[in-house]
Amino acid sequence: MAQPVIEIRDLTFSYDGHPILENVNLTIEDRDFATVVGPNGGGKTTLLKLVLGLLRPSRGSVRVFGTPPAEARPRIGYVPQHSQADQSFPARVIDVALMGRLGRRLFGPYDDEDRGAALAALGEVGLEEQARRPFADLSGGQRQRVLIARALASRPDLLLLDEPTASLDVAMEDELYGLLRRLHERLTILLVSHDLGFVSDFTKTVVCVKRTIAVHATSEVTAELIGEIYGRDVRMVRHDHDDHPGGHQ
Amino acid sequence: MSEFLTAVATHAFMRNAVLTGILASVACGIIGTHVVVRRISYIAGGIAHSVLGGIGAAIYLQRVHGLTGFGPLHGAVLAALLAAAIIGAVSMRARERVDTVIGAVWAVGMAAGIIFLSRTPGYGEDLMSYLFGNILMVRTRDLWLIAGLDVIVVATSLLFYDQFLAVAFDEEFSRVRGARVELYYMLLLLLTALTIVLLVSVVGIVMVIALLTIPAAIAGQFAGRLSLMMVLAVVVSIALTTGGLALSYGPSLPAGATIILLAGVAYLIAVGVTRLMRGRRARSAAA
Repeated sequence: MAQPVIEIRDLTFSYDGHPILENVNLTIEDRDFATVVGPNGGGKTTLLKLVLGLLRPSRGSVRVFGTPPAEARPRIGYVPQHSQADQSFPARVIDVALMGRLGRRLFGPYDDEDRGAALAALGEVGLEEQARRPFADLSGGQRQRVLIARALASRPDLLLLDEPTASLDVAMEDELYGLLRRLHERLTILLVSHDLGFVSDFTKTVVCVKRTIAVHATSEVTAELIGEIYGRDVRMVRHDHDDHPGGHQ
Repeated sequence: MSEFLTAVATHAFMRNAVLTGILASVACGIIGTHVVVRRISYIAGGIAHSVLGGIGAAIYLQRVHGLTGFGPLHGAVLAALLAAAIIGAVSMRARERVDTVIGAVWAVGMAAGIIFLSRTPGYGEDLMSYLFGNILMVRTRDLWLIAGLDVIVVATSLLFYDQFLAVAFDEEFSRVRGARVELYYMLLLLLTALTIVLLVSVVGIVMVIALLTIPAAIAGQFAGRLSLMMVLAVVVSIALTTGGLALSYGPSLPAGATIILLAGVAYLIAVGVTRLMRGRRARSAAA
């Protein structure tokens, strides 16, 4: 079998002495489409940042494509919840997409190959016509797609998205999922989401994070399970944490 | 106005003043744009004030110990680079303490400068000119140093333009892409330090932040991309420094203060104009 894309072993992460994630084991296989769900503060974003190598585990290990996360970064495309820049930042759409080509050289301008990749990525999200417009002039949904194009410009094998639907209305959400479905034809996708409502049919794996994690096939997700994850009655959660990857099956 | 033009034609010190303003404006527009979009004007303020320590030390060594070849501008360059390196190192290792360290560098630099100048005969005049600007006192050989600093700042920021832009837009994403985010940040602070030294010659330590940020802030009202914002900021800065010099000459007002007041008025007008334009656009869109 092919090497797993993400492999987390016995991972614990604490911040200021408070455990955020405990004894996490997770394997994401090649070409999976995994949605990470769980309540706010449950550790979803922490899990994502551990996979990106932006945080280091207190115990245990994270391997991406068989290497430490920092070494795997050239193969990872990352779409943050919002970019850190304020919305009036002076940059054009193409300037933002080109940022996906960063890190290939220490200094000097992007080359023609970079520009080609950035334009192709904008084409993939349907925004090549907008390439020369100021980023600030776009709608929220278009800005989200530019950030996806920025991630695609590096030609990644794994796409990580943090709450991509947080600021979108329902129509824009449908459009986004259509785009992700197309991208899934060639990419492994790991998506963090704050609610389970749209874990739709094309998600293959659901990863529930609430300090510990449990992995479900999408077909197992039922109303009862949603209640377990989000219900106030924490004692009702009975995820068995056996060691074999894939969780309870 | 014609009085000013005659002065420029006849006096070398006026030509030097105009040229200093133009040279400083080039670095000012480029680095000021970075300072504005990254919101690090407080860091720039700290570096600017620490410069007095270097200037004071240089004057003291020159006048009291007869050390030649090490002028106030050299002292200013060293102090500014040191302050930038300290603030940069602290922001990388202990971000929660940066605010305190900026304040400390700010005040300790000034204190050192005042102590050095107090041990130097005839210090009062020097202190005032470095705090509030002495553009009319720039000598021809200072111009060469100013031009050299300008070349370093402009060449380096052009070379790292794409990297600086990406890190300013989204530092975390840049890190994930494997970019040397810390290196770029430190480099930007060092370039900011050199630019501040250039501007100290024009408007003095106390008013540097205004000249560093106002032209870029005015440009930011109209520019939709970083490179255009830089070009506009350079043009605005040249207009403000030259205009301020011209306005101050007739009534012999302090040049630095006149430049800053002119900049403040220009900023208010720019904000007003963009407000009006936006309001009109919104109304015509609604109609």
